[in-house]
Amino acid sequence: MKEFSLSEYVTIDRKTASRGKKKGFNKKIKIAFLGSFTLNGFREVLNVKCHDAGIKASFYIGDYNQYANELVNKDSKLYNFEPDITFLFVDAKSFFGDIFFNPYSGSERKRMDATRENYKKLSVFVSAFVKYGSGILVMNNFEIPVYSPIGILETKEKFGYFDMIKELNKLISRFNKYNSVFVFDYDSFASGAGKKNMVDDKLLYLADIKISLDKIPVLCEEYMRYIRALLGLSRKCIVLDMDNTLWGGIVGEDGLEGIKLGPLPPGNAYMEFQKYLLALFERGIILAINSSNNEEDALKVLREHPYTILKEHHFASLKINWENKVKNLVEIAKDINVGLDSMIFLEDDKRIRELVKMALPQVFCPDLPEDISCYPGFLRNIKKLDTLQFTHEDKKRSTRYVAERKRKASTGAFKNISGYLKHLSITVEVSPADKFSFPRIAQLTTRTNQFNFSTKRYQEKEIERLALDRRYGVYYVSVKDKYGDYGITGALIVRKNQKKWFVDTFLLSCRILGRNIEEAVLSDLIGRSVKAKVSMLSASYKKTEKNQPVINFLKKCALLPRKCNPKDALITLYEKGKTPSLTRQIKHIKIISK
Amino acid sequence: MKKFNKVVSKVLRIKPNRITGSTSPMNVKSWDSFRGLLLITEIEKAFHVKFSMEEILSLKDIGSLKKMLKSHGVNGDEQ
Repeated sequence: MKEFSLSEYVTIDRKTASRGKKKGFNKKIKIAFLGSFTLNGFREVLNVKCHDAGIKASFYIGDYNQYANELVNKDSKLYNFEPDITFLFVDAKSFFGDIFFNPYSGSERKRMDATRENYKKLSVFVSAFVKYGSGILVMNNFEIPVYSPIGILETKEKFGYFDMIKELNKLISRFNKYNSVFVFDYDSFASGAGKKNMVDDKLLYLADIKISLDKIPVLCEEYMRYIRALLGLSRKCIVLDMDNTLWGGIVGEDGLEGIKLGPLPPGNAYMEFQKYLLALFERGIILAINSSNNEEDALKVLREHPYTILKEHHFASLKINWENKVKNLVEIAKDINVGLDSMIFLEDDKRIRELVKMALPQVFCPDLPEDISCYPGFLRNIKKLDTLQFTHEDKKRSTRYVAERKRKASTGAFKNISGYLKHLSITVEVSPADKFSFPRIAQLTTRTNQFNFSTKRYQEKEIERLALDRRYGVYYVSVKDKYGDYGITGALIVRKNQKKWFVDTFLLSCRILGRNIEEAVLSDLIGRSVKAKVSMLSASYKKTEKNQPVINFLKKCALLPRKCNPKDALITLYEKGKTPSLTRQIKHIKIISK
Repeated sequence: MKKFNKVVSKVLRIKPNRITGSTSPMNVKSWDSFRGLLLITEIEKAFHVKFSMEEILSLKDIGSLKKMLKSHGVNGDEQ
């Protein structure tokens, strides 16, 4: 993942501007940039990076040091631009002013007051953005200096110069309470890049450029993580080769005892590589195997090797065979139901990588370093796995995919589908929304396309408002079976007029479809209507490119005539006295209604 | 092509045969203050020299840039 120089970006940017019209873009984004200094170069770099990722970007670059006005004035050019993402880069020197140069001219009290005052100032800007702005705000925190006028005594001070900045950074992280605000840890970025090299003094004094031109592309790569996550372009799944990737050597030739994996070099590098992969699994990244091996040899390592960190139960799909690896990748994608464009493939063999790159350009197949000691660092540097939300469901995602593999493996043992469904012992729970489930419900409304009656998208704030409104009922559906917990995988929003209920939103994640859970949820909703003595329960259906499963479901339940294929329809789900018989199909499901 | 002209042509996006001693921000549209700084950093990188702030402030045109390089022991007209 080689980085270009700023000047190269500026050159490429000109070319992309003329090429841009021809290229088909999958996504669009409006990017705003605000800062306390000259912001040349950021637009060019981000434009090229977006272009390469299939994103058509348009920009608003704030005027020199005008960020405060732009943020507090609700009619500003910034807000008129209606950006999807706004980057705010303010440097400590210009923000703190004189006290930054001469922090010990006053008392500890004075330093504390200055810090608190600066925090208040920032709070005004940020809360104005939350109020007037669109999209998300990504704001840098401040770089903690490395020089102090009192030298080695700096660390002796109770609330010294460095503490001012550290404390302000701590206070800034409070802004994370706003869902639309993200704090970028610029201090940590600067440490990683080397604080001594962050500023080019000549350009600083000549043109007030407060970041070295070399560092602008690197910083923009960090900013791209937010853009990819915002547009849903992050990767979800890492597919791994085994020999010379998860361990050193070839298990089929060297045997279980002969492969290099363990506390001694070079086995220790492979072991740490596996540890980093495990940490990614634990945060919800799906792992899979694509290896040319005898299945039993390779599985023996995962099952019996004393130092293997990754075990069989960490993988959602294992393709260990002598098939073409391209074919295997396609099958893995089908198996676990993720797009090829959500996959990363790590493979040490250059020839296979070239084949994959050619046949499946959607798969990110980076060139692994030649030296195994660089593997762990290489993995840490893959910046394509980010999400903007981290719900409980996200964390458990990878575990769920493994449960799905086991579930599928058990299908074969049953003669018919109903025997299989019975064996699963499914429990469906429908509960009123609470503050813990608001983020997940909102996420489901934005992501669910197939089984979704109205495909209305909601933000977390709106879900909260509806849940607190007595005229509405907001419910979430959670599902589990003997193989694992699916977590929250469905949502219902019902508008409750006195005697008539109207279903505004009825959606279920595609992961749980085809097990009569749809019927179970509907029957629970009808149960609630009966209990509330409602005379009619209806739902609106709005056709999209993807929500045909809803029509199939309605026909199956005889709620829609067989030959009817409406674009928009008002469907009567229940009328007093005429109850559709759903009970037959859902005998195998335990419903808990809260 | 001479390395010097190559860098200038790339950064300022002008044809190498248009580059003369009197090429300056006055007659090249793309040569704004930011592009000027990029030009200097790229020349510095290409010839392994570091200009002082005062040298940069006195820069007027390509001729003076070449003179600056010469004072650092580099002949921009050579290969």
